[in-house]
Amino acid sequence: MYLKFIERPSKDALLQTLKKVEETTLYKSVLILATANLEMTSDDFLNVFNSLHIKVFGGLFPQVVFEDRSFETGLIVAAFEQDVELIKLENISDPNFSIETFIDSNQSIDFNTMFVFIDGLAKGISNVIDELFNEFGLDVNYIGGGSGNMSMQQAPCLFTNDSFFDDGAILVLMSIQSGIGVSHGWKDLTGPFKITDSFQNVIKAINGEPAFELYKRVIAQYTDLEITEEAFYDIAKSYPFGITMLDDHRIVRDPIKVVDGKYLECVGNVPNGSFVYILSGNRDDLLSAAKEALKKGEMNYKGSDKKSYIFIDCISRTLYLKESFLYEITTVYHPEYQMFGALTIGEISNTGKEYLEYYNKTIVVGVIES
Amino acid sequence: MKDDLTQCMQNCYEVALSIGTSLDLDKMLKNALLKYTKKLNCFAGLVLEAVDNNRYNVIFSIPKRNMTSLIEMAGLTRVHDDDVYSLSDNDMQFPHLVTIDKDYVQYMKLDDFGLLILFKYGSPFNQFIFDSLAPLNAKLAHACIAARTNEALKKANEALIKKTIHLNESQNQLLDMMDVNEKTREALIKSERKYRSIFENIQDIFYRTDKDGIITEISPSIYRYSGFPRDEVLGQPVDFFYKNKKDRIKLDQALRAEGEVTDFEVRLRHKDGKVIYTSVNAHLLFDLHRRPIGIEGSLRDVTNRKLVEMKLTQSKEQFQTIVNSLPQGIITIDAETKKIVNCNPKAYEMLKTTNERMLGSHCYNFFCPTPKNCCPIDRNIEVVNDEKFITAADGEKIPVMKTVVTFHDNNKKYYLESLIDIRDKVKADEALKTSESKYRSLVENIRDLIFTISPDGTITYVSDSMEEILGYSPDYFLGRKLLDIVPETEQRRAQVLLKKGFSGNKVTQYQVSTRHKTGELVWLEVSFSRIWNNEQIEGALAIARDITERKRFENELVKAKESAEEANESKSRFLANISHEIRTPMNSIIGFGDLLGDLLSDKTQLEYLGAVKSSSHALLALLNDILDLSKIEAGKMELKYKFIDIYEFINDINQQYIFAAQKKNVKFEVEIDPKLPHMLSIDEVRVRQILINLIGNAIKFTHKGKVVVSIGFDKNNKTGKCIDLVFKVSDTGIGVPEDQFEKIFQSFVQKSGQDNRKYGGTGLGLAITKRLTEMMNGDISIESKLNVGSSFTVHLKKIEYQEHAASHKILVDNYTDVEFLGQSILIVEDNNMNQRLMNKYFQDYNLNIRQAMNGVKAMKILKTFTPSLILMDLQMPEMDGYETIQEIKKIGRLEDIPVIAFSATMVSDSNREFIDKYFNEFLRKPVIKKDLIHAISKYLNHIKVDENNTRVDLTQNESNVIFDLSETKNEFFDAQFIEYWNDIKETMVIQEIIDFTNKVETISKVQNDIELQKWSEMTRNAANNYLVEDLEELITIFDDFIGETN
Repeated sequence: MYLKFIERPSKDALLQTLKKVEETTLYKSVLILATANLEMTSDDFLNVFNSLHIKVFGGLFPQVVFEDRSFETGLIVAAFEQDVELIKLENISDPNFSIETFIDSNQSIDFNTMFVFIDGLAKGISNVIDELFNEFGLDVNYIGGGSGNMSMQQAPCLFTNDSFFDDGAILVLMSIQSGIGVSHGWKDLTGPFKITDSFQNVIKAINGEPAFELYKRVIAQYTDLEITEEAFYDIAKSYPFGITMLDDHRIVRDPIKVVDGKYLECVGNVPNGSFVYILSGNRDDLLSAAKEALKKGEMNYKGSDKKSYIFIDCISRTLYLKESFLYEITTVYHPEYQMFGALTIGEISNTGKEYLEYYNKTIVVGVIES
Repeated sequence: MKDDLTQCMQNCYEVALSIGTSLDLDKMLKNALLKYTKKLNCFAGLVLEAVDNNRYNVIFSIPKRNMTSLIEMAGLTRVHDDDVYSLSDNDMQFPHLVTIDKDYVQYMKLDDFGLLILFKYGSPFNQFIFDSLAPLNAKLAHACIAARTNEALKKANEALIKKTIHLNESQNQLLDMMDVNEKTREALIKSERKYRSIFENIQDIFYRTDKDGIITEISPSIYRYSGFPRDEVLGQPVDFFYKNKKDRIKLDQALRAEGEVTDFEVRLRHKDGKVIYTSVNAHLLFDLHRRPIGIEGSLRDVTNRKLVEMKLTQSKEQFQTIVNSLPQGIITIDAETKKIVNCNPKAYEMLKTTNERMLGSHCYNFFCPTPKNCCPIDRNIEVVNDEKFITAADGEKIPVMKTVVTFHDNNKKYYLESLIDIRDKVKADEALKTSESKYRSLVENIRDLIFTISPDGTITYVSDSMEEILGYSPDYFLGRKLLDIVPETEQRRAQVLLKKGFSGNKVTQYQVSTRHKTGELVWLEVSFSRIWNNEQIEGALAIARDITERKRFENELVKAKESAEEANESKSRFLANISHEIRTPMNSIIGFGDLLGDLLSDKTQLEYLGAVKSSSHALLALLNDILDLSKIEAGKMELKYKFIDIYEFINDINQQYIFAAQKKNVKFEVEIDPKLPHMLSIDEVRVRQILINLIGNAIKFTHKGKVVVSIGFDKNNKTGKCIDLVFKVSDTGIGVPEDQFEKIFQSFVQKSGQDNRKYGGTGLGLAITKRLTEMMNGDISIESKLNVGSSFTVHLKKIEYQEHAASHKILVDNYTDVEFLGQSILIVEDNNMNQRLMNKYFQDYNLNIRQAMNGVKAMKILKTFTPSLILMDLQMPEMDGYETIQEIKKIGRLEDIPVIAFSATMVSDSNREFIDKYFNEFLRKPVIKKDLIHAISKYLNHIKVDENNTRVDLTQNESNVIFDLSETKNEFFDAQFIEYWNDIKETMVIQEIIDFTNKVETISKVQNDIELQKWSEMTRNAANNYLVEDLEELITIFDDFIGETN
């Protein structure tokens, strides 16, 4: 695998790098992870891609990770020797979205790993995840996350050779040895609460009470913190929801803002009728989750020692851990191996045969043969 | 654990929500299985639809792609070449779990539909999850069946429409054919007429007969026509040709009437026997005088046309039969004129009219509510299974499901309307709506909290009053387990109540406490009734009433009652305590009074002293009575049962009163039932007290006549071990008026009008008598007539007796004089003190003793040891006496060993029966030595020995001294303490002894005197276990020690 980090990306720099990749003829596909704040426009990207023959795909993220650091500005080019099959999903917010319409029944390659990049601000992400599970099952290692920018305004953030789009997803089917580990480290503060009214990623009522009211009251009761609509996320980032699953697992849902003064908008769906806990975390628990994810990822990896690490972590963990976040990266980083990745809006992965989920506030470590 | 269960329930709740979201089977299963797999952490799932017994179609797989590998993993084998699979195990019981490495395949039943197989990695479902999933699976099964039914209905409907269209098309074709036929016929007739007289017609047969019907001429083609050669036919009568002679008669008649016939159909016969449908054109031939001389005509074979016609008729009839038999009304309407051209019986029945009236009527005038020129079908609006109203002939609006199909016939457009009567459905829907809204409003307006629970305890409905009563919104409880919302302290009770609620047939009522949202305790009175559906318990309906106020009031009452009782008990305790304080000065007054009497000689002084003495005695009697009554009321009165010879006892009483009665010139008689057993187990002191009270009263209130005491037993209630003893004390005294029968048994109440000065007394005698009688499981009754006399009867129930008084007596008297040589006893007893005590009892009797702490240990010993007798305590840990004896009796070698049971607790009737059956003897604890020796001597061989053998006192036996007070310092005990001790040893009240030992123990701990502490422990132990002999010995030791101290 070829890996390059461009700290000040420009159209030329990108073109130069990609041309170089193409010329070696060794590589068959290129993944690009870029930050969302670049000065390059979508046309710039497409112009570059137009002049290439190699398969290109990727997305824009709040931050990217290279080696042992995260960058608010920058671009990573990762070129693979393997051929990939690209499936582009569009209009995923449509309640009737079905993956079937996008899948070629004569799928050409055998694959065991799938990169999934999805518009992190689209609605209906959980539906896509369910469809993925229904279509491909859990014999595949999934790794990926939500793209988008920190302004939380939906904008085109995914790209392939000929398109730059939002409200969609890119599935990259690949035959490559991989191992995945997932962990979050958040613990139950109180609960359970029943979601009595919700639509996609907006919680309207909890226990029959307007969601914000209840959330505000419970947080005040447990922390003495007074949460306001204006400075909502300052406090809410530390107290996400956890959807209950069997065996005590929690799928974290990050409430990001108050809607209409009484509802809570989350990253990712919170199904109506589900039971949730309000979670809390501390620095040590969160950092040990990084260790656990790394351990699991390495344990699940069955390939050779020629390997690279993919680091997918939730942007909101940086907001919570602040300067300690550096430890999270260095916990995972081995200087003798390449590591790259992104800080995402929601993470996608499956832990072996157990889950395929769209997570929030969670760290995913992928180990792939390079 | 509780959390796990809650979460499992929460997950199940979410799964439940996902089931049945669509009537499309595939869509429905996708939604449901996504939730199943996700929420239950499964990596795949299969849904199988049963074809027949253990044969299934795999109808759904999640993920889709893995179906083949999942089928393999689930161990399904393909049956022949079909897509039908069977389970590897024909007799698989569901739910079923198969482990493949770290994968778990979990099979669950979808009732009446098939199977659900879920694949999980890492850990399998536990029984709780399986149980929780059962109702969800049932729901899924229903949803599958509903979807399948829907599919079938859809298909059936489509097929019906197709069939109807097809039928119409067939009808049209047939009509077309008929039409063609008709035209051909007309042309032929014309042609026929044209060539009628042409002899050599190729197609038709020309013939001529004479007046007798003999064929005189016929075309040669008759051979081709009928198989008969012309020569054979000529000269034959025409009858020869007819298949049915009637046809000829009819033809003749027609000819005679008209002179000619055209297209007259007859059935002729072919040589091979087949019918030739023939059309005949013929006319009569006349002679010059217009007399008929024969017939001339032609024959045409119309068999083919006839067959087509018959088929057509048959098809038409078939079509009409199908239409007529359809359960829906079918009406065919001319699209242009809107006239009804055809309808089936169902249609005119539905419209309450007749076929005739319908045909030709305009649909808009007749049944369709749509006005003329407004027909939606004209505007190509599709009507498929629309719910509409039609108007019957009597004006009734009938709801129908209407489908209209357009078809063309002969370039004409028709509408075929299919009408399904849905009156019943609409009625049912409305009834359901009304009923639902009625009950809803009923439930919502009830002030009580109403909720329903599924059999697994999940709350499935909560009424709005929840908000008011417990402060939570009803939603908060939906889907939760009832047990999860009751406070922890009420969990066990709630579990029991729930179980009872579901198991009982009747509406049951319980009181439970829970918490209001604000934390306040709320008491609810909950009544349960089970909800049945098709003989299955679907759940329970609970109506809970807030009874917090009532409960508070009740509690206050209970508290008030308790404090009243406490006050009463304090009073009794106080009286019991002070009586000793009073008795001591009273002793001085009486004692010194007696001494003073010796010093006085002055008559007046002696008289005064006499008054002092008699008052003192009266006061002392009063004190004793108060003390007794207080003891009884404070529960401190102990009964001490032992076997006594009742004859001796009565003799004693007789001696006591015969003199007193004589002094009053009253006869005193005692009668004993000669059948009364001699040896009765009674508390001699207290029975004596009862009799003394009754006899004393009788003598006191009788001035002439007699007092009779009779003793007997109730012959009806005698069992092998017990009798009901009856004492009766009758007198010829002043009597008691009937209205005071009850009063005289109350404390401090005397018969009203009784001259207190004359009769004296405390008014406590009868009260004490009554209480004592009751304590002894008996009762007392009175019969009396004023100035005639009274009779008091005391019944003491279940008094144990022994028949052989004489031999018993000898043994009892001589228990020290026997020896049980070389025999062995196994003592099964968990109490150390008792074991020691029995060892001590037996130590001089030359017995081989082994001991076991409980039944289990005893059975172990009995494997290698066969004792001559077993002594067994009934209450023991691990394995009690009841269980042990049954085990012993199972072993042949031990079966005949005598076993004596003993117990400190009261034995119930049922246990008594058990004891009588299995044990040879029963002794009540504390077992005293002479009873024990007596009991075992019944079963063990024994010899008499020298009288020098005496029991060894604990204090004299060095080996048994387990504490030593010789070093204990006497300064611990001051005068006050010693006085306290004197009281204790005098009264020997168990609780007081225990209190005392506690105090001594405190002192011993302060002084760090281990020996004294040992004494306290042993004494307290002996008191707690009613080891009276031990207690006496321990008290003697302590008393000696105190005596030395002083």
